This record gives sequence, structure tokens and C-alpha cells, in this order.
Amino acid sequence: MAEPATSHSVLLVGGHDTGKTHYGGQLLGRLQLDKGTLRLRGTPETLAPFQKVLDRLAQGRAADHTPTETYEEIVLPLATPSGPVDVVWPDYGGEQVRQVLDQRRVSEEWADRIAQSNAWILFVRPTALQTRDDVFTRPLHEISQGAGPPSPSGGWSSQAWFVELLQIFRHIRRTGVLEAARRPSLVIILSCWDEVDRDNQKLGPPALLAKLMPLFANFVHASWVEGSWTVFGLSSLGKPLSDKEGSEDEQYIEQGPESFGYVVHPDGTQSPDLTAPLEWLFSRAL
Amino acid sequence: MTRLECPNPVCDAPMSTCNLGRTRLSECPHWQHVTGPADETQDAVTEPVLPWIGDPLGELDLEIVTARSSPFLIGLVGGHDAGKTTLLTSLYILLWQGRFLARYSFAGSYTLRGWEGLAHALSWSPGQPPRFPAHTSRTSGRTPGLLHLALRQDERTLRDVLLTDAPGEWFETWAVDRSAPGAEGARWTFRHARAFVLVIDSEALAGPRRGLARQQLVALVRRMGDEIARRRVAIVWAKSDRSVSEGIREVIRQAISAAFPDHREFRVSVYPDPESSEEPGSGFLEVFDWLLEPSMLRVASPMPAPVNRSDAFLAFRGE
Repeated sequence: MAEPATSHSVLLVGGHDTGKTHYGGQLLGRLQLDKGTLRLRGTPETLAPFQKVLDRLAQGRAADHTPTETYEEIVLPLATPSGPVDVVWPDYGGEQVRQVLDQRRVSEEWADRIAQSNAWILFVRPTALQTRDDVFTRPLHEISQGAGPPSPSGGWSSQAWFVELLQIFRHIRRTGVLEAARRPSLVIILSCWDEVDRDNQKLGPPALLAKLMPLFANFVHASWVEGSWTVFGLSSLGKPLSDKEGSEDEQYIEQGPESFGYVVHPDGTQSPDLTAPLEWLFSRAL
Repeated sequence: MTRLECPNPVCDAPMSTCNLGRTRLSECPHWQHVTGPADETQDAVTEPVLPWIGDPLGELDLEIVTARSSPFLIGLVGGHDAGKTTLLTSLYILLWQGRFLARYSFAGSYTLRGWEGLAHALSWSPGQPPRFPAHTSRTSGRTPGLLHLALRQDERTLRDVLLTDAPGEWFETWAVDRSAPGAEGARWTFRHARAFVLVIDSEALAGPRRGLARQQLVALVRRMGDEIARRRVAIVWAKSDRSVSEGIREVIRQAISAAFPDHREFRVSVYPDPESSEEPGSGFLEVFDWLLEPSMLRVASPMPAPVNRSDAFLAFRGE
């Protein structure tokens, strides 16, 4: 008899092009190997987009990054030591998240997902941060002399964007603000870790977050109880891959996508176990 | 189909958030008068709507803060171009860069778009005095926009701090004639603020019209002295890279000492001080470290609750 629907739900959030889709594909690949403590519950059809990614990786190519590519919500149903858990990739498309910030409206579907989720995984791509934040990183006297170009993101620096996003999510979930929260648990994933320069990589994920996004890191420190949140580094692919025909990666073809990709634990150690961030969440008893 | 509008005269839904704080308009009693409950045509507007938009808060928006705590309002006072805007902008940029207040963590803000707008406005208008971008806070037009910071002292203690964003002209008018119509915003500030920052324009006091600047500043200080009681005032010599003559400085200091029982002087500049080993910008943070000493925040004082006195139903705050 099939297990009833779970009450544990992990919501995966991040802007466009932060690597969530590749993570989904690689995660599926790892789960299909059936070696770890996490298992897939059944093989639902909604995982087709991730299977497509995996098939593409097996051919040595990255998945398409066309902005028009969308998918409906994807749910990865897992069996974990804590019981059944659904990991949710909400409707793709940076415009969904932008709509939340700009139009101040949240669709019913998003609101339900946010309200019901016990844990959030937030994808942040470190190398995508700098271009939006130029004006803030200058010395004060340069800023007041008008040294900056107009912001390409329409007025939100990356840090403010992430703070606002989490504020909105907490509001919808009715997570009170007066005290630091234990729930939902929060994993911040610094994605495309292989793009980060060596010196920054050496800092390890929590220190790198604090260096690149001090205001945001301060906000999370202030708003979550210690132990309820953490930072991982992630490279789903392990190396740059092209999505173009004719530029296939031989190693991927020979060794398979399951031989690539790694996470960086909060303490700085690296491992090929892409399920580690999820296991961190589940070990905290959602 | 004509566009639906909320019949509540002080509510701009669906263009803005529900005045009664309903995150779903279908749950608002006013809105239901127009549409009836569970009306299928209102798909788009039954989505949860957030009670803040990120712009500076107006008097009517304050509930989102007063509902959870007694906010600490700091009034920034000074003539136009004195440097109030730069002070606020610098505070935000420093926090953004990871320079923090001594005793508090940044725990969020309901006016992030307002803060961001300051920094971007500053950087987009080279050569011009910094200007606040137009904000859309719902006010009567005669109260200052308010920027918000939530500051966390420890796991259980959150402080909401509000900072006024007001045109200098209001204070210039008020200094001359306290009851002038154009001074209502200044009067509002002095009625509700629990502490103040007086921003002194060192550049004006060092420039060709320094005599007039000195006179106007002293008039402002004296007017403030009438209203301040024992409230704390941070005296901020802005643009301190310009040096003010000792004579003028002394006259101003005497006026300040006579007017303010609890004050401290600070020098700030966006330019690095060649004679100081401190990081540029430290002065901006020290101002707020002093104003926000935990002992200062313990005494509660009521914030104004917006009330529409002409409508007995809307005047009822008891829901």
C-alpha cells in the first residue's frame, strides 16, 4: 500500500540560472544509484525534466539555459530516515520570483508551498553577485560623486533582494519576527562553486557568504537560531560544461555524470555526495 | 468590466495593500461589499498581497511596525543639503558592506526599496546634491517618510527603528515660524521622535554665506531647545572635511549647550580623514551607536495610530 502524502516539504528557491536544474538532474542520478540513505519513493512522471538533464549530461553536455524553458512544479519524493519527505522545485522562471518582489503578490500555489514547507534551500550563485552591486562596493566618497552606472537589476542590490525574499517568505509562513526562528530550517547553497576563485574557496562556505554578502549573512544570523541554518558549497557539474553540440565533454561520456559534482560542507570538506545538504536537513528532524 | 476598487476611502486596494491588513482581499469586509465573498472574477486579487512594498513608510503604513513593537523614532533635522540624506545613505551602505552597529544585528527592514533607492539616487546624479527619490508612501503629504530598520539585540529582543526622511525646507520654515503651514512635518517630527540627529552643514558654515548659515542654524537650535525636553540629540558636523572657523564653531556650541541637555558631537565625512587611522565612515555608525544605546530604548512611548475621525466605523481600532 502506498504511503500517505507526506507533511514534510523542502522548498528549493533561487533565481534564474543559479544551478537548481542541474542539481535536480544530478541528484536524481545519485538517487538512482541507490547507494545512500536517501531513496526515491516511486518514479513519478514529473521528474521527466530532471531525467532530460541527466540524459544530456550523459552525452557530455550541459542542459539548455534558455530563459523560455519552463517546467511546472517538480516534486522529488524521498524516503528518508525521518520519514517521507518531498523536495519541491517550484515553477521555474526567474520571473516568478521577480513577480513576488516587484508586484508584491504571491500566487496561491507559491503561498501554499511556502506555508507548508518545513525547510528552505536557497540557491545563491556567488559569481553572479558582483555585477549588480558595483555601486555598493565603492568607497563612500566615490559613491557620492556619482561614479556608478544604473543598476541592471532595476534597483535591487543582490543582498537586499535576498533579504526581502526571505522576509516575504517568513511573512507568508507567519513565522514571527520578534524572536529568532528555529523553523523553517534553512540551507544556503553557494552554487557553481567551481567558478569561485581559489582564495575565496579556501574560506569555506559560511565565511565566504559572510564575505560576499555581509548584510544578508547578518540578517540570517539575526533571524534564525544558531543550528537551524547552515551554508554549503555546491558544484553539481564539477567542471564547466557546454550545452553546444560539438563541444561534448569526453570525461562525462566515459565516466558518466555520477562521477562528477561535489558539495562543500560547512566545515570546508569536500565530498561527491550531492545529497549531503538534504541529509543535513533531515538529521534535524523536520 | 470596470476595475474593482475598495470602497474604504482610506484604502487603495487593489493598487496598494489592504488598509485593514488582510493578506487576501477576499477576506476583507470592505472588499466583500463590492464583490461578495468567493467571487470567481477576482482571481488575480485573491492572491496574498503583502502589507509592505519596501518604499519609505507613511503615517498610514506604520501599523506594520507598531503592531509588533513600540518603534524608536529618530528625527533627522537640518536644512536642505545639510547632509541628512548622505547620512542615511552612508548608514545603509556601511551596513551593506559589513560594517555593523556595536550592539545590534541587522534583522531586516520594511523599507529596503527606500534604502536601496538612496544609494542608487546618489550614484546616478553626478555633480548634483543628493536627492531622495520620490517615494510613494501613503501620507497626508505633511508627515515625513520613514525608513525602517529592524535591529536584533539578542535572540529574544528585536528593536524597530524608524528614521525620518524629510525635506530640509520644513525645518527652515519651522525655525522661523513654529506654527507655519509648511512646518507641519517638522512639528510631527518633534512630537513623535524619541531622539534626534541635528545635521550641520560644515560646507555652508565655511562658505561665502557663512554668516547667514550660522544665523539660521542658531535659530534652528533655539527652536529645537524649546521642544526637546530631555531627549537625546546627536550633533553631526557633516562634510567635516571642510573646516569651520573657531569663532563660528564656538557660537554654535554655546547655543547647543544651552538648548540640549543630552547631546554629543560627531564629525562625519564621506571622505577619508588623512589624520585618522579609523576607517572612513566610522563616524556615521558611531552616531547611531550612541543614539541606540540599549538604555535609551527601554522607555516606551506611543506611536500615532492613524485614525479617520470622520468615520466612526473606521475610527474603531479594536478588531
